[in-house]
Amino acid sequence: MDGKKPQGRAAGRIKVLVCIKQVRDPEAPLVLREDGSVDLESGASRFMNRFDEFAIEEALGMKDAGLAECVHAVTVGPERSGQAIRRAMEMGADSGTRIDFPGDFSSGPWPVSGLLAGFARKGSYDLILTGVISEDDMQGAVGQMTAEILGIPCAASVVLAELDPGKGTLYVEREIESGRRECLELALPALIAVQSGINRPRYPSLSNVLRAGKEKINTADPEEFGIIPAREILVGMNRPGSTRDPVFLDGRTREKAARLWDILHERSLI
Amino acid sequence: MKTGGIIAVVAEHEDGKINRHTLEVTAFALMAGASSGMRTVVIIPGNGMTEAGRLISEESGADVVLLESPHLENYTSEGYKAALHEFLMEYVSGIVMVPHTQRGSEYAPGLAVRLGAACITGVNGMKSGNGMVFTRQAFNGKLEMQFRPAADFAVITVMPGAAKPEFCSSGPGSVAAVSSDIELKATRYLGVKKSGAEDSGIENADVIVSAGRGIGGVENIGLITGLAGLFDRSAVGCSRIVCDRGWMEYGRQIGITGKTVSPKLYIACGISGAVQHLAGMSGSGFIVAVNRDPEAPIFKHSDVCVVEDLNGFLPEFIEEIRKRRAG
Ligand SMILES: Cc1cc2nc3c(=O)[nH]c(=O)nc-3n(C[C@H](O)[C@H](O)[C@H](O)COP(=O)(O)OP(=O)(O)OC[C@H]3O[C@@H](n4cnc5c(N)ncnc54)[C@H](O)[C@@H]3O)c2cc1C
Ligand SMILES: Nc1ncnc2c1ncn2[C@@H]1O[C@H](COP(=O)(O)O)[C@@H](O)[C@H]1O
Repeated sequence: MDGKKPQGRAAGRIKVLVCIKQVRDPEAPLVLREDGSVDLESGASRFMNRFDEFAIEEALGMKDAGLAECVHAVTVGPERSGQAIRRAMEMGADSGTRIDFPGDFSSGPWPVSGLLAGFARKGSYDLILTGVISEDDMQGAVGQMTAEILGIPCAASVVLAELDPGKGTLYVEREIESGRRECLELALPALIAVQSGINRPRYPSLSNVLRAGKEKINTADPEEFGIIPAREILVGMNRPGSTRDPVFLDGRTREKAARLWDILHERSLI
Repeated sequence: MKTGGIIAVVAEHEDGKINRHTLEVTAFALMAGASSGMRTVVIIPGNGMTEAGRLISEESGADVVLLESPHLENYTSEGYKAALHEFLMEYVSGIVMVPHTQRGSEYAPGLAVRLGAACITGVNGMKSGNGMVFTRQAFNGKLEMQFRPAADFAVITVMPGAAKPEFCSSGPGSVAAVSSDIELKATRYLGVKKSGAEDSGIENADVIVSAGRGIGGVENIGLITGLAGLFDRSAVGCSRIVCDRGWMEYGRQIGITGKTVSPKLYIACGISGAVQHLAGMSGSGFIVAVNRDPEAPIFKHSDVCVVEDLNGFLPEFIEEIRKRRAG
């Protein structure tokens, strides 16, 4: 669909977009209401999806190496999710946009992918990065669907990426089972969903924090890109059951330690 | 002209053999088919799969389509999406079931876009009755959600263990070969590299003490090795995050992209119990989990649950073992 060569490449430098999601701390307690819905807005800290930190770091690494001309960050979410964009800018992204959207959890992958694709199309990016999975929804789908809506190639679970802006290609290694890697070359523009371990995400430097503090986060209206409705209907939520018969030890730390010895000893495991 | 609806299972294979996960998905599909009246077809993209196709048609009773093309010799997301889309467009509707593997989860969402389909990933169960409803987990396994597809096609990726690979076939299904004339435009396949991870011996251990992010830092690894050292034939393992941070070497990573282990005893320390980790250790004989979050998903898959801070509990437990052995 969008096969035309973006301008960025003429200069031998490319434009990079990183898709970032703000997630609720997965360790925070989840409150399931009587009606089967879940209270997600109250009482938990939120941060940038940890897989997306690897995506932004990978993009910034390309910029540091002089291969990328600019790195933009985008998120689809409500006002609070601007914090994740702020964090990306503090790490070093040149600019950040939040596409205003209420449901950043459980809305299914279509609406979000559609908005990201619409935003990316307008900006003529040569390379788009996403995380391999979001820690809350765990779909592992938004990156691949965004690429397909744009009609560009993609690779997921990428653990190594080497850009050749001159040739207009990206060499990638993607992880498959048992730590083996599939190696391929993608023609730009392309999208990669990066896996943890591809790099070590940086901490924001003081100068970037100061710079980012002064810059504003752009807000975009979703209507600008056209919303693709969800094709999956959420019919209910519940707590998953157990696969074993778990016994919780009680008492003080000492007593639990003694009890654990007894249990293991009874079973000749110690 | 388009024909009716179908349940299509896309097979995953290596060295000419279809894997067990595909058999599970086929059993899952046949169950869905039995309740909805839809026919199940196993699609095998690739070449030289005739024998494997015959075997699965005999075992399961499902019809088999060998989807062949020089461009399907090796898996690529682009090739699979193009060939499957071309084949499936012959139908008016369908449910496409893909094993949730590193490959399946790469191409399935894109295939959903091509088909204008619902996309539900990581499905671990199904309820039928008033239409089909698929269950999947979110929040690291703390929450289960049920989704109903709302489009003519649905592409779902199915987790390992969603169904037992057992069949009551009343005779083999048909086997047909279809050639696909796709081209790869933007992808060049360059081969598979073996894992560079060194052998850590964890696959043969009777007892594995495993560290997760909850260990807090490399300075606390001594607690894990110290505890492991008190057991015979023991080894130290870890979650992916621990390797990513360089606290332990990759050869010790347990899970879908690491090692699969089934020791007699597995002690998970500060591991949340992500599905990708569980996939590598849920076959362990006896599982003990230590975690300070009482809701940690690992507890749902353990025999003994210790809700404690590691830094307090592990030294206490090590001390307890020494004391009992001495006395
Ligand atoms: C495609 C793919 C493949 C993957 N493959 C693998 C794989 O092979 N293996 C793997 O392990 N992961 C894999 N992962 C990653 C997986 O999704 C999780 O991110 C990972 O397993 C989490 O590791 P963790 O449990 O150590 O950390 P977290 O999920 O961060 O959990 C840490 C836990 O420690 C507890 N904790 C924190 N502090 C303390 C304390 N002081 N005392 C006690 N408890 C504490 C917390 O309550 C929490 O439950 C994969 C992911 C993807 C997307
Ligand atoms: N609301 C969102 N805004 C921006 N990026 C997103 C959003 N949701 C998902 N993504 C990106 O898609 C990746 C995979 O998400 P998911 O498909 O939900 O597992 C994430 O790591 C992000 O990079």
